Order: sequence, then C-alpha cells, then structure tokens
Amino acid sequence: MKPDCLRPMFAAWLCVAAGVVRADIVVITNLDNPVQALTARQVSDLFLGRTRTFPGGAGTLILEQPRQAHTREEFFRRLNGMNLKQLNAYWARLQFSGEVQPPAQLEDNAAVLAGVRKNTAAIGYVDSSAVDTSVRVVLRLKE
Amino acid sequence: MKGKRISLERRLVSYVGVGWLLFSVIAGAVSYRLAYQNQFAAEQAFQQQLLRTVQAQAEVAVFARNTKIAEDLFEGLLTNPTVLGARIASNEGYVEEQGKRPQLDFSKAASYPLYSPVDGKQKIGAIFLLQDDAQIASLAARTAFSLTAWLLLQIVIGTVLLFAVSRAVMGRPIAALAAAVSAIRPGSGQRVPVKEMHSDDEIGLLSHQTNALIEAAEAAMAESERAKQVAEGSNQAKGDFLALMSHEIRTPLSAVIGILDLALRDETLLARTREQIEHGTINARSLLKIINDLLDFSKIEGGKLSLEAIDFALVQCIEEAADVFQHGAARKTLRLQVDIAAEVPAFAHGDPTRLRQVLINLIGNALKFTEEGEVVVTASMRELGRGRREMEVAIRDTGVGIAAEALPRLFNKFEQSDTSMARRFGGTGLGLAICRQLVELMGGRIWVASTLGEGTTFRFTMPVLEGSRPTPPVLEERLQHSHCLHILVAEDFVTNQIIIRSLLEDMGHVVQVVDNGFQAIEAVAENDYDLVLMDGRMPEMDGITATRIIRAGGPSEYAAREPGLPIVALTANVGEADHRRYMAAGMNEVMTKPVDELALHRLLERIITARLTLGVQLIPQAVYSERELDLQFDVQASPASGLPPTLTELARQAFVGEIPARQAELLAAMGEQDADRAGRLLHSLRGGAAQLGMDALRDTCAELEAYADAKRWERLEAALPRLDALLKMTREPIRTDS
Repeated sequence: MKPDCLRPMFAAWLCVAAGVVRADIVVITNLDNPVQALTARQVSDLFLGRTRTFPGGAGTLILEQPRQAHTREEFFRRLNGMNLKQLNAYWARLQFSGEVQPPAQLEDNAAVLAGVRKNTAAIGYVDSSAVDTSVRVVLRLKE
Repeated sequence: MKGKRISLERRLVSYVGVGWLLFSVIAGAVSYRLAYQNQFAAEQAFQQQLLRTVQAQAEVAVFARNTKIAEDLFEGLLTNPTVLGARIASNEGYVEEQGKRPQLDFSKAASYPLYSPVDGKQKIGAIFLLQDDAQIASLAARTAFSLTAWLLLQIVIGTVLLFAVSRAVMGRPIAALAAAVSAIRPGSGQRVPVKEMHSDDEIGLLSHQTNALIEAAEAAMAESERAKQVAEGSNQAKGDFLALMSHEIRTPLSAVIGILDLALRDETLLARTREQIEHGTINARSLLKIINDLLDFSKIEGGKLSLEAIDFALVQCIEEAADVFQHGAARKTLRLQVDIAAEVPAFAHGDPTRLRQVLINLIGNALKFTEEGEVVVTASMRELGRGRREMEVAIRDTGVGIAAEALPRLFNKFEQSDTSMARRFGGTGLGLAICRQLVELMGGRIWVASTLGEGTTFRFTMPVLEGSRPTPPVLEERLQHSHCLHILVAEDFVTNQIIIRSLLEDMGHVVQVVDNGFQAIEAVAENDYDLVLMDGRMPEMDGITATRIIRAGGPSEYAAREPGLPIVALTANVGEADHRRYMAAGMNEVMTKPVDELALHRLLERIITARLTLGVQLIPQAVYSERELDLQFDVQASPASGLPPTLTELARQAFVGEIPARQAELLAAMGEQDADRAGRLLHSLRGGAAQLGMDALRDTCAELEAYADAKRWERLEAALPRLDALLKMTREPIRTDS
C-alpha cells in the first residue's frame, strides 16, 4: 500500500484512540420493569420489530436514537453487526409495504434516558457515560 | 428427347421446390426447438431474476413475520402469467402462501433460500415459486412458432427472389442460347447471336465457344468432304494410273512383239538371228503375260472380271495348255505328261480362256520349280450328285517342294513360298492368287500339297457343264480385199505406226499416218478417207476428243469433209468403261492392240462393203496368188519362218545356247575349287549330251564329273581342252545346217 492511502485510516484510528467511541453502550429499561437482563438477540429482535413484548409478555415502547447518530450506528454494530445502511433499508421495506412504523426517535442520550425513566414499557440505549441509576441497565455492549 | 424435354426452368422450380420443402422442415424443426429452449430458459432466468428482486422483501417479511409484506410480494409475483403460486415459510414455522388456484402442491415448486436481514449467512426460511409449466410451454411454443414462421417466410421470399433473378440472369439467356443452337443447321454458316450484355460473361463465353465449335465442326466436315473427294480422286487416279500404265507398257510391248513378228517374216534371216528374234518374242510375250496378270488381278480385285460361258473343247484345252510347255520341259530335260481320264467330256460349257490361264499358270509354276524328273497333269471327273459333276485337275511335280509353313500363304497376293524363291525364280507372286480367284469365280476350289525336296501337287476343281461341240471357227479364206481403202492412222507411237502401216499396206491399202488427234482433224478436213484408225491416247489431243470434234463437223477452219466417216478405235485400253467411252464419243468400233491381223482383215472387209453400199468409189485391187495370200496373212505357215523345229532340235538349240554360260560357270567353280558345283555342272552337261545322243561328250563329261567329285583339280584342268573341243563340235553342225 502507498503511504498516502494509509493516511485516512490512521486518522480514523486516532479518533477511536481519543476515546470518543470507546465508551460502552448500555440498553436500559424502567426500574419498574421486571425484566432484569436481556440478551443481545432479544434486544435485536425488539429493536428490529420482530418481537413486540418483553419476555413475560409485557408490551414494549422502543426508543431510538437519532437516525444518523453515532451512538445508533455503534449500537447496532455491536448488537447484531448491522450497519446503518442495512438498518435503514430494512426499516424502509417494513415501513413501505408492511405498514409498520419504525420506533420513535429521540434527540439524544438524555432524551432517551428521560423517556425510559418516565415509561415502564420503554426500552432504549445510551452511551454508558450518560447512564445513571434512575434506569436499569439490562445489557451492556462493550467495544 | 423432344417429347420428354424438361426445361431448365421447370427443373429449377422442381429442385428448388423440393429443396425448399426439405430445408423448411429441417430449419423449421431446428428453429422451433431452439426458440422453444431459448424461451424456456429465458422464462426460468426471468423467474430467477424475479426471485432475486423479491428476495430481500421476502426476507424482511419472514424476519419480521409481516403478512402485509408477504401479500404485497405475492401480488407482485402472481401478476406474472407463468407463476402459478408462491409461498414463504420461516424456519420458525411462519408460513404465508397465495396462488391462482386453490390446493396448490408446492412440493414440486422451485425453492430459493431466504437469509436473515441481520446476518446474511443465517438461513431463516425459504420462498417457493410454483411455475405454470404448461403456460411456459405454450408461451415458448408461441414464440418459437412465430420465429419459425418468420424464418420460413424469409426463406420463401429469398427463394422466390433468387429464382426470379437466376431465371432472368441465366435461365432465359440459356434457353435463348439453346433455341439458337438448335435452330442452327450445320454447314449453313449460321452462328449463335451474342448479346451485348453477355459479351463478357459465361453465357457469352458459351455462345462464343459454341460458335467456335460449330466452326470447327464445319471445318471438319469440309475437311472430311475434301478428304473424301481426295480419296475418291486417288482411287480414280489409281484406276487411271493402272489403265495408263497398262497402256504405256503394253503399247510399246505390243509394238515390240509386232516388230519381231514382222522381222520373222523375212525369209533371208540367218538361223541364229531367227533364233535370237524368237527368244526376244518369247521374252516379250512373257513380259506381256506378267502385265496381263497384273491387270487381271486388279480387274478381279475390282470385281470387274466376268466369265465367258461358251461351248469349248475341254480336253483339247487342257492338252493345248500343256503343249505350250513341251518345249520348255524338253529344254530342262523334264518329262511333261498329260493324263486325261476317259470320263472327262470332250466338250464343256464355260470359259476356256480362264481355264487355260489357270492351267498355264500351274504347269508353268511346276516346270519352273522342277529341275529333275517330271510334271504330270491329270484330269478326272467326280459325281457330285443330282446330275452335277466336277472335274479335278492335278498338277504334280518332282520339284523343290514348298515348306509347310509357307503353304497357307501361297494363294495370297504378292506371296511366294519365300523371298529367296522370288530371287531365284522371279515372278510377280500374283499367279497363284489369280488362279485361286479364277477357280473360285468358276465355282471350284484350289489347294496344294507338298513335301519339301520331293515335289508339289496343286489340285483344283471346277464344276463341268457338258457342252456341245463349238461351231468350228469358219476357216475364213482370208481373201484379198476387193478394193483399196484410203486409211488414216492416228497413232503417236512410231513402232506401232510401222506395224499398222505395214499390215495395212500388205493388205493393199493406202495409208496415211498422223501423230495425234489434232492432226487427224486436219487430215480429214483436207483429204477423203474411207476409214480412220484412231488411237485412244495421244499427245496434244486424244482420239476421243478428236472423234467428237470430227463427228460434230470439225472446227470452222478444219471442217470435216465427211463427219460421218467410219472411225475405229485402236487401243490398248480394253476395259468395258473404255469401250463405252469410245462408243459414246461416236466411234464405230473398237479394236484392241496388239492388232489381230484376222480381225483387222475382217474389219476392212466390212468397211469396204459399207463404203460400196454408200456408193463411195473405191479402186479395185489386183488379184494375188494363193501362196502370196498365205505369205501375207499366215505368219506361222509361211515358208519364211521355216519348218517348225522338232522338240529335239529345240532342245539341242537350247543346249547349245547354254554352253558358253556353262563353260564360264565351270571355270569359275574350278577357280574356287568348288567340287560340288563343278560336279553338278558336269552332271547336267552329261545329262544333256545323253539326251541329244552326243555320246563322246557324254563320256567326257562323266569322266570329268568323277574328277570333280574326287577334287582332282589337276586332272580336271588337264582334261578341259578335250571338253572344249567337243563342245565346239556340238555347235558346228547347227551352223552348217542353216
């Protein structure tokens, strides 16, 4: 490889090394929700609309990060390996002919946190740096 | 050819039609099959593509268990006419299906795996697509059919176009060429027209070549016509040449014979001279015989010889034929014996001349090839049944004989038993061929048996019709002509002029001789003649032309005094065609050369009578004594030729004549010390001497022969003067005789 080509890759690596994306992403639920922990698969099914209930049968309210948010991209990458493009295409199909509404999208970590705190059936994800004890972490997605 | 002729055009149509049909069937089948397969494959490829496009949607539907998506998807798929039904099923038991008909069996449906939208490698279910094969097939068939139909249409259009073009470009010109060629008649000079537009193409080439061929054919026809004419001409020329040669040779020869005969009339001749002249006559006659043989042969070959059918003395004829050779036989000290059976009729009906010719030929041959012994001629009769009889004549000799291998060729023309024979004995080789031809012409056969060294026997048969005694030739008293004729002889050959002039003058007539036809015309214009004897062939103007001119009254400056005067051809041309030509030219008669005195005498007799009847004044002749008449008309009987020599005398003369040659040969043999040859010579001398009764000579020869056999050359030489003396003596008495 030519050194010129390496330059952008090196820059990306520098970003990662700076700790911007280093933080864990946590899946959070309301403290009143009896569910204590969830598997990545369960979370994935919920966030992709495959299941609409928590294990135990309670209904869910999916809270999404903004469409192009870095946290969202990282979340799905770590959760099930999907990238944003795949994700968007999936939701586009489901929304178009399946008449399914994608989950509600909130502005940022704080909005998600607030949403989970407020609603018992809610489930969302935030950077671990933003989480506090007002919510229950049911799944931690590490780098 | 005519009724069944099929034009190129029709053939083209039928060939093209059949070919088109075959090709169409094959091409149609192939094209149909290919189109069908293509269509089928395309349909399947389309399904694949269809599936690929719906795969992602189906995956989402299965993954999210979304019936709405599934229905949407099915709706899309089923709009495709070849899709009968579709179904999606997840591994977790989620199933959605839809079809155009109820109760579809998806077990035979094509299935394609569905993967998780999350993890592309994880299989989450499958989509089944049930195709309507009949629908696909009918679709493919429709497509294939329309394609094939289009192809066939193209072929039809192409064929028709090609046909029309080829007809215009080739068929019509070829048909036109064919019509032109068939209209041409060879030799008419017609040619195939070549159109401008075809001047450089194959049609033009064909036309030109056809014209060249016609020209070549016409040239060949003309050439063969010319060759035919040349061949006919050459045949004519051959015949003419033969006639000319016979004339050219026989004219001088008959002149020689005539002159010699005239010379023999001279009573004052020395015996030796007479002998020499007689030898000359014999040789000239034998030459004449050879020429006659050649002529005879060519006549037989040309089928121009015809046989006479007259009564004649058969036995006498045979005897006379043999008699001709008695002299010769005696000379060779051979015995010539004739033995005629009693049954052989004295008189027969047939051709004596030809019988004599055969006999003379065979006897002459026998004598020629026989040195010692005898020649025996026998004649006997055989019954053939039904009243027919044939005579068998045998000529047996004790001569050299003929080799067995030469026998079959013997009767072929120009063949002798071998070429050395020809050197030794001479001859044309035609004699036996003529004999065979003549014998066969007379209805008989001829064959030969021979043993080399012992002798040969020729036999021939001929059917014999018994005849009556021929009316004996009236021994006309050749009276002296009563009147003197004024005769013009047109004859270019001086010797013949002399002969004819002396014959005519001897008969007491006035003769004028001219050299050619032209002079004859002049002469008849200037003088009165009672007769013109006209030779056929003459320089400047021949006899026929001259006769025609005279008969027509002559040319204006040489008007004939008497255009109708008797003109008689005097010619060596004896052919029937010649005879007709002479008569056609206006001649009164034809006389052949050598001139027969008796015939000439009779002719003049007739002319005298005719002239007197016409009232022409003729001068009467003085009357001669009977002896003088004899002198004039009968050479043989005239005393001038002396008494007929006896056989012995003839033999003696021959013997004496041979002596100088024998002596020379003896000396030569002695010089070469050839005992055998010397012995043979002395032996034959002794034989001759014994025959002639010259005993002293005979004994001396015997003595010398013994010396020769013993090769005692010195004794032989010593005795030679004695022999010479004796030989000289044999010559003496003959000289004193004369």
